Amino acid sequence: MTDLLTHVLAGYALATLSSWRLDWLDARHVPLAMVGATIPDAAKVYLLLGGVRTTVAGVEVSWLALQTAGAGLAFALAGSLLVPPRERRATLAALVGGVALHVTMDYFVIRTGGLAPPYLYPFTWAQLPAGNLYLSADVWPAVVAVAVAGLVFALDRRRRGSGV
Amino acid sequence: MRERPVVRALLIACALSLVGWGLVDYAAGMDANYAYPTDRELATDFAASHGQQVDTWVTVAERRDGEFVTESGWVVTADSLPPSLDAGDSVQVYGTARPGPRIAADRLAVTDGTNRGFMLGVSVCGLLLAVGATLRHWRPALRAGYLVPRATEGDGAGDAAGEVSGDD
Repeated sequence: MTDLLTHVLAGYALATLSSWRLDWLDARHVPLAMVGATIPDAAKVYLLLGGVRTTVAGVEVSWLALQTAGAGLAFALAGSLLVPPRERRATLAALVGGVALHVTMDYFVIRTGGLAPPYLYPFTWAQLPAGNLYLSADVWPAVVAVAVAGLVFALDRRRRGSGV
Repeated sequence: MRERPVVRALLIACALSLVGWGLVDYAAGMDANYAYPTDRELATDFAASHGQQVDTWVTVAERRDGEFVTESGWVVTADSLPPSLDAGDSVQVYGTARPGPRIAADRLAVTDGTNRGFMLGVSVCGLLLAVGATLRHWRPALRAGYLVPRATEGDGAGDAAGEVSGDD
């Protein structure tokens, strides 16, 4: 996975740009897209637990399931229920958008075997070809994300200042 | 019609239960569905993968001329090793499993230990940024059990906080 800052800033940029076009998406929903972009990284709990598989109450679990579309959607659904009904549509869209962006970006991580993990689980176990663009620990994606997010931030402030 | 908190709580529990089911089902299906032998399959019975293509993460224990030894005791050979490869580095290895145990690597991708520290550090920053930005725009209405937009919004939130009955 790319570092979390890159995911969060990409979520910020995409959600802010979307809010310029979509009447029902406001500035307050942009942070929710940023939160959505963090959800698949819940799988990194395995770094604290010492392995991708653990036995919980006698049942084996794999934390890698948390980085998949299915878990992300389930968390987004739960998250959307934490807001009042009138906010729910935009909240769900922001969270799902953040999750989808994170998973899409993870497809571009370098995989020496040429295949990405089954990120579309449980819909399919298929391992799609990896984009092989960057390593998780590469610095340059974060530099690009900071630059793009900074530009979007400046443009957004100008738009708000001009009352658009 | 006002939402019933119990129904909402049950729906949240159902969604989280789906996650729990996924954790169990994923663990049960990994070995059968992954394109390459999983780390556990390699660790428990490396010999079963002899002659097969494997794709795995290893940690370098010792670098030698033209090869390196992993913390698991496997020897990874390659036509050329990155000059910066050193003990403690994480390496993605794609190659052929051989008796030894050894892997004849076709491709390597090295993650330097320093870069890994960078990744963790900026990831913490990213998490704080997302949480901080959310709390700037939203606040908990504990009695109602909602996150509500802060009333100072100038972006159409209006009096959303006031719409929630039992607001704290």
